[in-house]
Amino acid sequence: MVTTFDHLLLLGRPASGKSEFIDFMKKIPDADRAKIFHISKFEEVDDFVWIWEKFMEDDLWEKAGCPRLYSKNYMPGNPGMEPEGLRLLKFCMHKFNDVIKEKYLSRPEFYNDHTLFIEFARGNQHTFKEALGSLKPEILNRAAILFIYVTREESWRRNVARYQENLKHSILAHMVPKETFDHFYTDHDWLSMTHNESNGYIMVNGLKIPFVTMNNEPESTDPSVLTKRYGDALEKLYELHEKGV
Amino acid sequence: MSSMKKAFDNLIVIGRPACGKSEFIDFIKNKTGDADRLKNLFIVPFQELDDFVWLWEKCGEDDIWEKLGYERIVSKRSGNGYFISNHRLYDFLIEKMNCEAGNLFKSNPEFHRDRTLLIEFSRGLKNAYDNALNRLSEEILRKAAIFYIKVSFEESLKRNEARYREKLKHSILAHKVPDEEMYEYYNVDDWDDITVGKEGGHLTLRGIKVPFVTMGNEPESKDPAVLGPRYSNALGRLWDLRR
Repeated sequence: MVTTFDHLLLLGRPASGKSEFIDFMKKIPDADRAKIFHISKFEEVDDFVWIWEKFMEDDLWEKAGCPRLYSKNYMPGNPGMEPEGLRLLKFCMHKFNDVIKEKYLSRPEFYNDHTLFIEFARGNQHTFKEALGSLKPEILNRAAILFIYVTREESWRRNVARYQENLKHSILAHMVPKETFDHFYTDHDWLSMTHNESNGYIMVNGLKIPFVTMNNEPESTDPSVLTKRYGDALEKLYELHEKGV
Repeated sequence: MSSMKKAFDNLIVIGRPACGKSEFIDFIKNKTGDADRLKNLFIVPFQELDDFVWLWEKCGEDDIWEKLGYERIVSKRSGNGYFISNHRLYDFLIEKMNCEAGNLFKSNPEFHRDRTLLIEFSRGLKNAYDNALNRLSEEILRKAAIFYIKVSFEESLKRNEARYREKLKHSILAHKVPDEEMYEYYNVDDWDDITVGKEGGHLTLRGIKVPFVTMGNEPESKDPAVLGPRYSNALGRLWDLRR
């Protein structure tokens, strides 16, 4: 019997490789993905979409003659969150709860043959601990966490490289601007939360959640390297998930 | 107007709350066939942009901000609805309208070939429509015609309440424009001023000459036999004015 995750939380710094992980999984046939990675057909909920929407709304507020609410155009056409926008991250956690409840938990049959990816990056004042703690128990008790780890320097390097690559194809390319990166993402609490363990369980609001911290350096686009990297991490995570049930 | 079809490209439907905008859209959606709608009302299959949806969404977001311990941004709760406390929201909504319409036209440059875009909103106070209409993008205005559905403030108030009572029968989530919003924001508008009381003619908006027609929508009727001629008479005049 093929066994797969219900909620797979994909956490990490910006440009740590969360999107690349999802792209990779999209290319794997359903049966292989379930067998090797414990991931069914999947859907994604990513708070970047909501954050970007709010940045775009800030453009409209500005056109309407009002101050922007959450972001600043640190680079032309490429807004980033400004310190006052911090509350938007809390708003997103609220939105995760609403959207997941309405779109997925309300349809238990969804989980018969689907995995839901829940993706977000946090850092500095707005910690992973706080973010995870604001998710509803019904989301957490189906969850396993894959933390995709890269260093601060690597996160910044990939953030810039991805932007420059995207710029070749679209004027709509975007990146986390330096000011936003420095204010929100230089440090995070994941390693202290997990006591520097590479895998195990964390307690969130009294619930025991399995996690694996996957080192995603050096960067690779080689499928054989990624298959092993992702496969090992998810195999361990699934084992923890099974033991923890 | 597009030369490809004998129908409006962008039809701007405005008027006080509960003046009959939604009933008009219901009529063209459900009570008239494609051929008759085109022949009598000069409207082809259509798409709607109604800023009420976004307004309501923003008020809902305010509920979330409040729950999270922050100040509300645009509204306060009032009865079973919201009072808009930040009037800049109305300008934001027009900018959103411009953005959404722009996206539609960009994603489909042939949009108007076989479609009418309905743009629906309601504004109050002394610079209500002068401000809102002049904020619309040139892209919208160049192909626009304005259909103002006119009822008195008292009638708007009465229908707003009646509509709410009717909805309450079916859903506890029924809502209405709160009375304080009606009295403080929608009590007056500037339509008669900017049209100099005319029932039809042209407005110059951002230097663009845009035809308009004012349709009296009293007494209230739900009878398609009354509404059909009422609408076709007004939109027939508007169609003629577009030249």
